[in-house]
Amino acid sequence: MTATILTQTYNFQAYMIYLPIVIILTILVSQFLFKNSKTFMIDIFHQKEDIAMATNSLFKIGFYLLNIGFALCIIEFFQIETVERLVVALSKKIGGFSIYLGIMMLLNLLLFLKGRKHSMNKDKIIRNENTDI
Amino acid sequence: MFNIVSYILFLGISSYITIDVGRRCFNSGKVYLEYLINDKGFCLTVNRILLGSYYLVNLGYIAISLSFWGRISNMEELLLAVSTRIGTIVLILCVLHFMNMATLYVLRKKLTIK
Repeated sequence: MTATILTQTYNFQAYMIYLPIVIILTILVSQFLFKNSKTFMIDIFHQKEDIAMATNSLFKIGFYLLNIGFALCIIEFFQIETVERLVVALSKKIGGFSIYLGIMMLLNLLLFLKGRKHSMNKDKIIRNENTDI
Repeated sequence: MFNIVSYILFLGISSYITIDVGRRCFNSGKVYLEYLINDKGFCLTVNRILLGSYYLVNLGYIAISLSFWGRISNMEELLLAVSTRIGTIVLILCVLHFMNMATLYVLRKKLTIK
């Protein structure tokens, strides 16, 4: 009776391949993104170094939490019986996750661009007021 | 047997994540509170109380969520259960964090940078 339950599945291997790939991908992407976002942050906060770095690290924490949490929540695979199915299921899941990561990165970039534009406008307004007076 | 291993793994990883995130937010929140409240000692006290309540809420939820745990009979189910639970905890942390950021965004008019 136990023999019928213990059929060979590749789910464990799938989890062991999926977890490191997803975590390393998230770490690489967020390092890349937040190394480049420092210049944006300094522009947004009018050259105040400390608050710009603090905001940058807050955004970084949020990005890590959101993406790693999502990646861990969608980990469940269906019963995988053959190696062929394993490859297909893994590539489907990792591909979907990397598309999601790309969209998140673009959204972040749009947010930074919008903030930068806003603060540039404010700078211009302040400068004009000063010259008028 | 597998249940005990999964409890230990879950408790270790999720409390490590909670404490680390709390410490990082504490460090970068200090700068913000210094701009909001122009008094260093008071701001440190507020920040420490916030950190303490954050730890209580999250570690308490982690401890409670151990009670909704199914039976685990092999390695595969262990990995699945532990990672879905940690994912849920991390997403809850993420929601709390974004609520904090939204509060800071609402309060940005009061930030003393011109």
